Amino acid sequence: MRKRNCRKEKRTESFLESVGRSFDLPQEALSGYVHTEISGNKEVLVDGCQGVLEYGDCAIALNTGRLTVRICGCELTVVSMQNGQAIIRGIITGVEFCN
Amino acid sequence: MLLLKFIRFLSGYVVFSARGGFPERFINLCRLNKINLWELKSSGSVIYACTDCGEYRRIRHCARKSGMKIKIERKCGLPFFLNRHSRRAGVLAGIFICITVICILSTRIWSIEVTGNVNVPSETIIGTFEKLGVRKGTSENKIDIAKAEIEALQELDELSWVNINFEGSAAVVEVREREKVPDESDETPSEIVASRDGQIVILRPFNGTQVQKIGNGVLKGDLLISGIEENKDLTVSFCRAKGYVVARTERKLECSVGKKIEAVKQTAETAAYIIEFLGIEIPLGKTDEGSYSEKISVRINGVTLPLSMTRCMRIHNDKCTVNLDSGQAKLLAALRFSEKCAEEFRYLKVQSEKISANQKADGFTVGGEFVCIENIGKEVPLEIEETDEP
Repeated sequence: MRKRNCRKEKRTESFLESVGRSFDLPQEALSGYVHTEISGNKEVLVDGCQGVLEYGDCAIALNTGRLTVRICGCELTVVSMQNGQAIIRGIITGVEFCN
Repeated sequence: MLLLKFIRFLSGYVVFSARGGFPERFINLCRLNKINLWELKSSGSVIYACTDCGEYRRIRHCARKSGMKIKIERKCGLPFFLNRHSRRAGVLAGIFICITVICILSTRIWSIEVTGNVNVPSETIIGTFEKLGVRKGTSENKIDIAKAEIEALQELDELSWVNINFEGSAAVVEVREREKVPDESDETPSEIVASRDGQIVILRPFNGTQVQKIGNGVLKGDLLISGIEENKDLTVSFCRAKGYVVARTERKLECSVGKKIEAVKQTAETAAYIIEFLGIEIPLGKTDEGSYSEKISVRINGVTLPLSMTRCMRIHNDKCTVNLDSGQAKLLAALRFSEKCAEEFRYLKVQSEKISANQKADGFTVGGEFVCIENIGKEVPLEIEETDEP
């Protein structure tokens, strides 16, 4: 049963992705992916944030629905968190994406 | 970002710390309750964040649910500042006066500057505009710029174009002066005669009939270029003689100084001050008519402030007689002689000179004989009598 669902999801994803690609639309517009912007190693903007999963000195993990975005670094500061958009500043050493 | 910070400063905000419990849950609860948090920092087990004044009360509920203890670290912004200094009426009054002064001064003209003028003095242009309402202290909105420009042009004939620009609080008046066209229409018959005795060196007639030749010696009043031209049919026509005649001339200058001279001695000096702010004059002391005045405007970084000080000086002089020794008399005579020479030879060239100084019983005399090259042509109108005879 699970396998069937997974296949269905994959098919839907690939279909939406292909539609988005053919119309030159941003990937996050149709497929529901998170939009992430990284400016050097100083700032990360995550659009589509649904909550905080981990909050600490060296790492902040954000729930974005399908993915979990984990930002690692030091002196991390959440500059703002409004309308599903989180801006994180600090010295960023890595950005991880987990399912 | 700067604007956001300013708005937050105006509305006021709280910096708080939260410790213990689950920070993730606390942040999520705040997000769900639409409580705006910013500048979230974690330091060990403590998190620091900022929030609006009104929303801080709602945070307690979220903190209780997530097991965190919150504490206000700092209160920032204008409401807290005013509340802190509410007992200090002077500070509040000062802030109010400061804001009022800024609001009033930012709409007024602080200074008037004139650019582009060469022959017309800036004072004349500023004086004209002051009559038309463009003066220090006037509100910019009350000035009809187009009307003032047209009226100023009508009053000042020497100007061909005027434009008023406001650069900050300074009114900059740009002007263009009218270029004088030489009057060619005046063709009254005239002739050129010698203004001094001399020997002609250069003779260039542009209009009229040449009477003298180069090398001729002429006396004062002799005709050089005639305004009467003879036509081919032996009739004559009158014209305006034009040209220049350069001659070698001789001049003698002398300057004598006696042993006793009348001089002016400064006996007293009084000063009065006038402080001017936005065109309002505040006199400090009595100012006399005809006194020498000096105006000092306050300028910071090239910007003229609406504050200036005028220093009016009055010097009282008395006449007295001074006895000079021979050295002083010689020095004074030489000084006066050189001043006289500078004035006399401003527009002519000295070819040779012979200067002598003589001491006399009653003083000292410095004299000189000069051979000069100068224009001796002088235009005089031609007197014509009309008769009925053919």
